[in-house]
Order: sequence, then C-alpha cells, then structure tokens
Amino acid sequence: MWARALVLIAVGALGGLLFGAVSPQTFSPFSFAAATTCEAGAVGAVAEIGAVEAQTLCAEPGLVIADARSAERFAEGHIAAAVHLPCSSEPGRATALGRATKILVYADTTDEARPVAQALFGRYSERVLLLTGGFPAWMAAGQACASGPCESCRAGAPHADHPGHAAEPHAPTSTSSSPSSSPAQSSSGGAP
Amino acid sequence: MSRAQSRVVWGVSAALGALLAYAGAAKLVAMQPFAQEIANYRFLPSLAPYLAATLPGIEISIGAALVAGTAAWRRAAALAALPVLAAFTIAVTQALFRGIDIACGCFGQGSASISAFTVLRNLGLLAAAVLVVVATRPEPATPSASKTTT
Repeated sequence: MWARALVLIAVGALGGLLFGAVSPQTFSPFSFAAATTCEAGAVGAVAEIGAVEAQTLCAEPGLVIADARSAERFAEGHIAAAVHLPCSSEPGRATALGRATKILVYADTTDEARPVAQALFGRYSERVLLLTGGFPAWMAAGQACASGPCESCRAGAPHADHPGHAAEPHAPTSTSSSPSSSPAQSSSGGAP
Repeated sequence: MSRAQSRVVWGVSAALGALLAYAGAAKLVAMQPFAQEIANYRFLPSLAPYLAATLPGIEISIGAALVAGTAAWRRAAALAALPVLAAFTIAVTQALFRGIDIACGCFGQGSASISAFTVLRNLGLLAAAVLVVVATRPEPATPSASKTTT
C-alpha cells in the first residue's frame, strides 16, 4: 500500500513538472520569483486601460466591472452590467470579486477611481484594471450604459457575473441595469 | 462489512477523488498564480514554486485513483492524500492564526479567501481519506487453479 501511494505521488509530481514545461503557459520552478507585496498597500501600479480598449474585455467570461462611485451616482447611470463596488465589497458579497478573472474599476474620473483600484490591487493584483477617463470616457466612446440601483446589492440577491456587453450606444434608461433588459445590447461572444 | 457499507465507502472515495482531481486541474492550468498564492501563505515560501509545479499533478493522480482504481489503489491513494490534505490544513490554519488575509488557492485562480470554513472543509476531507484507508478492503485473490471444461 505504501509503495502504491509513493508511486501515485511520484507519477503525479513528474506529470505536473512535465505539464509545466510543455504547456503554453510555461512554468519553471527554477525561474519563479515571488512578488513582494507589502502588508499595507501594494507594490506596483494598477494597469490603466482606455474605454475603447476596455471594450475588448467585455467578451471575457469572468469580467466584473466595478463602479467606485456613490450609490446615487451609480443609480443615475453606470456601465452596463457594472456592480456597485462599496456594496459588492461587503463581507459575503465579495465572492463575485474573488471569482473574477478581471476587475475593471471606474469612477467619474481616473483619479477618483485610482485609490480604490490600488486597494483592490493589493488583494487581486494583476486582475485589477483602471478605466482611464471613468464613466464620462465610456459614454463618450459610445459604449453601453444603464441606470438604476445595483441589482446585486439587494438583500439576498445573488450576484451574477455578467461580462459587460458593449454594443450599440444607447442613452441611459430608467430600467434596471440587467444586460438582458437593454434592447440595444447584443452579445459580443464568449459570455457563459 | 456489508455490501451497502462498501458502496458508501466507494462513494466517499469517488467524491473525494473527484474533488481532488478538479482542484488539481484548476491549479494545473494556472501554475504561476498558484505559486504566488503558496508564497502568500509565508509558510516555507522557498518551496512555493516546487510545490506549485508538483502538487496539481499529485492531486490529479490521487483523485483519478480514488475514482477509478481498484480497491488496493483506492486505499493507497487515500493514504497518499493524507499528508497532502494535512499540509493544506496546517498551511491554512497557521495563516489564519497569523492574520494573513489571502486567497485560498484551493481551486486555482479566483478561490475565496481563507476562513475557518476552509479549515473545517479540509478536516472533513481528511476524515474522508481516513475512512477510505480504514474501510476499503482489497478484493480477494482469485483462485490460481484454472477451470477445465469438458
């Protein structure tokens, strides 16, 4: 039994090493260097991305668009499928961010969102992106918008990880922010 | 052991194996982030890259044997799972005690943060592995004499 157990461990270890060597995302344990992030505040800057470039992320499954403004500003108008960040960051609601492969943070200006993005960077590192120009830049680029309160912030409402669909521009509506209620939106592919 | 009990033990073995195989596969496709997540535990950080390169394959190997192996291999796989699960549990527990707020890394990228539930879950998996080791009985050897037909 012990011999079989050792065989399983050895086969698994060798298989893992081999996979790391031949896979497209090559990983060598000999060349790895751990990132040295500090306890208080992250080392390194959040990557910034423009509104037009951010549109290419909308088809990525696991994308979470996070609005760092007040609840009132969020309800007035926000990026389609965005979640209101202060609410989504509460204990118990942070699972959406934890599961995200990319977190696009925005506010009314780049500088307003930067501290929030930097704080998230300390936890989620390279998954966090900062939208330069904020919501005004998104609207100016003709990307999809919505209005209404954050759906995931309602008590007990589970958050659905919808990628932000950026299709034809349309004026902010008074309906909910669910992507399915926006008639001008079309799937840009890749959404689960 | 009754037949029903044997089936329950096999079911536990299969469930444990499926979970380990899934966890291993999730880490296998993201070894670099997994290595960083191990380093974040600040528990033998120099071993992080080597653990990241080998642990996923070990989990898959053990998981596959638990699901599809013969009784002897299932028992051996559960035995091999014990130190792996124990190491996970110790790593998470010491991080919690030290107040290190990190992602678990248990199921690859995007894993939830470590918590008391993570420790309890790992202890449950350890208990399942112990059950499989203790309660799985190898199949009886078939008689070596060959049948002759007339």
